[in-house]
Order: sequence, then structure tokens, then C-alpha cells
Amino acid sequence: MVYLLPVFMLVTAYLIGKLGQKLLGDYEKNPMETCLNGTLIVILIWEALILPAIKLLAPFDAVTRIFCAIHLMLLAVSLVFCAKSISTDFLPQQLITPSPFITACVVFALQVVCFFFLMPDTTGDFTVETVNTTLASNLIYENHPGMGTTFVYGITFRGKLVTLPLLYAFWSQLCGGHAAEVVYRIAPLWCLGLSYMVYSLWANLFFQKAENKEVKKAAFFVGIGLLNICGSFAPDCIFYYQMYCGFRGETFIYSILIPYAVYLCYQIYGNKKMRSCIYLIITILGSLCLTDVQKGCIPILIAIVIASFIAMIYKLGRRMRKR
Amino acid sequence: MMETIQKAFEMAGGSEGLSALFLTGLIALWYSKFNKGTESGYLFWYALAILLVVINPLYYFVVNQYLPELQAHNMMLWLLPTTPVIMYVCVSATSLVKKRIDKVVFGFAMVIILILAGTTSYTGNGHAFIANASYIPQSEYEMITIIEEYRKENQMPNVMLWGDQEIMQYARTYSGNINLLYGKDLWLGSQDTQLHQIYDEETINAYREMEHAPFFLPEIGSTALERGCDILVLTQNDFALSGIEIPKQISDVFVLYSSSSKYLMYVRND
Repeated sequence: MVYLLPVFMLVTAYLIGKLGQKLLGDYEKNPMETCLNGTLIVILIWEALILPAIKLLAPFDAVTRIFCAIHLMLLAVSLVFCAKSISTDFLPQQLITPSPFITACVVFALQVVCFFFLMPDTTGDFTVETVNTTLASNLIYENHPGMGTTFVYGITFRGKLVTLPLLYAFWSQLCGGHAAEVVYRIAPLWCLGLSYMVYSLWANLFFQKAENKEVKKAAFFVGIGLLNICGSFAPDCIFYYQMYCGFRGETFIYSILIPYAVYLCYQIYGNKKMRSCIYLIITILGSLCLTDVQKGCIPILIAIVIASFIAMIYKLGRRMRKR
Repeated sequence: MMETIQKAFEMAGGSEGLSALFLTGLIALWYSKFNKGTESGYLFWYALAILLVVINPLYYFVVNQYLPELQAHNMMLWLLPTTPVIMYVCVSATSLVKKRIDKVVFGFAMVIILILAGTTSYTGNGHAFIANASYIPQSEYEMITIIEEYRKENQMPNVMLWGDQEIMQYARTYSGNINLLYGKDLWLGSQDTQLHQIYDEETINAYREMEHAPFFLPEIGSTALERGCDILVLTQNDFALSGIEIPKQISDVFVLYSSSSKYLMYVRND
């Protein structure tokens, strides 16, 4: 059951993303972007449920029941109202040619094998402990994850904003598997998949007018996999975090949200897709739920400011050269 | 200050090899940035701007003063778009090669460069294989499963465990029903600044006593009783090294219940 979780996450993210785009009247997004937006919406809905629950000292299973109900409702609404646009996403001519992507798939599978067979880096990490504590006590951030007993001084508000471990607890409860399987296997797989989705958007941007576009995109994906595997030998670098700490919020920020925010900035300033502003706001809000403000929100804001400035200057320069 | 920046710059991209590739990629992007119809210019200026910000002394000062958590693991260097720069240049370079055989050779060369660049700063920490689905080392797993069986047999909703650092580290990874006298944040220092757990002097002393358990058995027994511990786990090797005989009882209250290849488990007798 645990191993069906990625499929569930992918399908729900896609359908919820599709519904979000329908509400915004945005019909131009490709399925990858839909999945990314859907994932961020799911994270924000979870956050919106958890924060009042913390204030009201509500039990964890009450929150999960409401979340499940919201999930089911959104999926049903999405299937009813977006059926037409969903079917157009999967027309045979829309699907990619698989042959150039075989090597990329092999390299992707190699990374997944690492998640299943190698020990992750858990130094100073309390994620699994938090999941176990939440499930055993049915309380949200009331007990110390390392001890299981009540906190002496509690947890800060900034700490309570981070709801990613609680989302893992929800998945663990949903699938019934051991928390370590969800956190150390499924979460890194989810993170890696999403990072490939972001880089597929970058690849579309880079190689949209290139010859042999599909082959170049496939080579780009192979390279990303090789960089992740080979770069993981040096601790303190993002590739190491991608391979051995894929369950941590920081990894989500640096390998998914920051590249996605930079891509969105280009769409806003470079291609004048103003609807992307909404997705950018969702991305910034999502960063608050994943890790501490200093490690998540601030780097993302730095990247957005620089990317926006550069995108504006770049567009201006292109226009001047055309004249 | 300059030394710190230099060190940070060396680390950019994760390893010396990857930073070299990143900088080479940046130069290659500069060369090709005026290619019309591609977005390489945007990538170039963005990568350059981020690089200039990240190695800036002012930025370093601000991060040191106000954002110390960003300093951990050189996290600010992760802002560099290392992956897109390196891969964009690698993939674009293939279009310069015309013959099919040359493309194959070029592809292999690129793969070898990526592998070599990534492994130049191999730290030798090694990567261990997992022993079980709980991601706990086998010797600790053996003992924790015995503890969990004991809890279930005695129909206890929770047990309070006190033991060696290594068993304490993994106990709560296995089950949320095993409570501990102190968490791993005690011996790791304050790893998570959001957790406001402050340990009193007594708990710190208890930790020190447990790390030299054979010499403090009466103290351990009385502290465990006082703190409401149900289970004590000691390391067999500590007794072997100290030359002290393995006791059958600790403070007349904790009796030897079970043992594994590495650990001894004592439970409360009342």
C-alpha cells in the first residue's frame, strides 16, 4: 500500500492542480506544471487545516478526516468539471516519444534504488520521531519528538508553521506503513520526481526552438541524474541533500521551489504571463510550510528578487536589440 | 573575511570539480548568450547575479549576523543554479559536433567528466546499506523489537526507556510508544532551534552516568526509579571493558529480562 502512495500523490496533485487552473481560467499549463501547482495547493490546504487545529488543541485524527473529505471533494469536482481538459492532456500527439527518455528513466531508477537500499542522513533530524510522536499521541506538536513526553518550554510559532512532518504522518496513517518507509523512501522519491518536473519546465524553455528537442531534453534529464548521483559524495551540497536528505524541507526548497520560482519569474516578466504571479505567491507560501523561514522563505525571496530583476533587464535588452 | 569567501567559493556547487564545471559553464554561457531565440542569456545573467551576491562580503556579513541558519551546510550556495548551467552547456555543446560517432564519444566524455567532477571531493564517509525497513542498525533493531514485544505482552500503552545513547537514538524512530528520559538533542547540542527543550542539570548528570554505566549502577537504579523508568538498556561491551561482572539486578528493582548480541535489558520488577 505504501508503494502506491506516489501514484496517489501524483494523481491528486494533477487533479487538484487542474481544478485550480480551471478556477483561474488558465488553460495553457502542461501536466508537469499542473502537478507542481497541485502539490503546492495540497500543502497549503494542509497548513490551513493544521494551524487552527494547533490553536484549538484538536486531535490529529480529526484533522486527517477533514483533510481526506476535502481531498475527495476536490477530486470529484475536478473529475466532473475538468474532464475535457484532462483528456486533451493525454492525447497521443501530446505524449512524448519514449525512446530518447529510456536512459533518463534508467538513471532515475538508479536514484530511486539509493532511497530504498542506502541509509539516509538522519543526523540531528527529528522527522520520523515527529511522525511517530504525532501518531502515537494523536496530538499536534504538544510532545517532544525525541522523548515522547510533554515539552518543557514547547515549540516556537515558527516551528509550528512547518507542517511537512505532519503531512508525512497523514500519509503514514493513510497507508499504514512504518513511518520510516514513508519518510525515507516515499518522500525523497516524491521530492526527486517534483524536481525532475521543474527541470522539465526549464528544459522546455531552453530547448523549445532547438533541433532534436526531445533528445536534448532526455540528455538534460540524464545529466541531472548523474549530477545527483556523483555530486552526492560531497556532504554539504544540494546533490547530497537530494540523495540522502530528500525528506527534509530544505531539499524541497532548493531543488523544487527555488528553480520553480525562477521559472515563474521568467514567465511573468519575460513572457508576460501575469497569472503566474498567483503561482509565485503559492510557491512563497508553500515555502513557509516546508521548513524554517530562514532556510526556506528568505532564500526563495532572494532568488525571486534577483530573477525578477534579471528577467526584466533581459527582456528590455532583447527589445532594444530588436529595434 | 577573504579566507571565508574563498572557502565558500571553493565549495560552490558542492565540490571543487562541480564548481569548476559551473564556472566553465558560466563562461560558455557568456560566449553563447547572444544566440537569438534561446533563453541562455537569462540563465547566464541570473547565474552570474546569484554568484556575485553569494560571494559578496556584505551578503556574508548579513547572513552571519541575521540569518545564522542559512549558514549551516553552506546552504546559501545552493542558490547557485549549478544543475541548469552545467547541463545546459553540456547538452548545447552536442550540437557543435556533427558526426554521429563523434556525438557518441562526446557523450561518453561528458559522462566521465560529470563523474570525475562529482567525486573529486569524496569525503570517505561511506554509504551504509539499510538493515531493515525501519532504517535502524541491526543490533539496535534487535533490542528495540524485544522492548516492543515486552510492552505489548504487558499491555502497556507506553514504556519509559533509559539506556545507552545509541539505543536511545533509534528507539523513537521505531515506535512512538517508547518514551525516553531525554532526547538525542541533549548530546547533539541544540540542533533544532525551534525545539525549546531545556534539560536540567540532573538530566545531564543522568546522561553522563549512563554513558559510564558499570561504575554508576546504584545511582542509575535510584534515578530510574525516581524518574519512573520501566526499562533500562545497558551495553554488554561496557561491562567487558570495565571488568565488572554483569549484574542480575540493579538496585533490587530492575531485573535482567533479556539480552541481545550487544545489549542487556532490565525491567522493573514491581
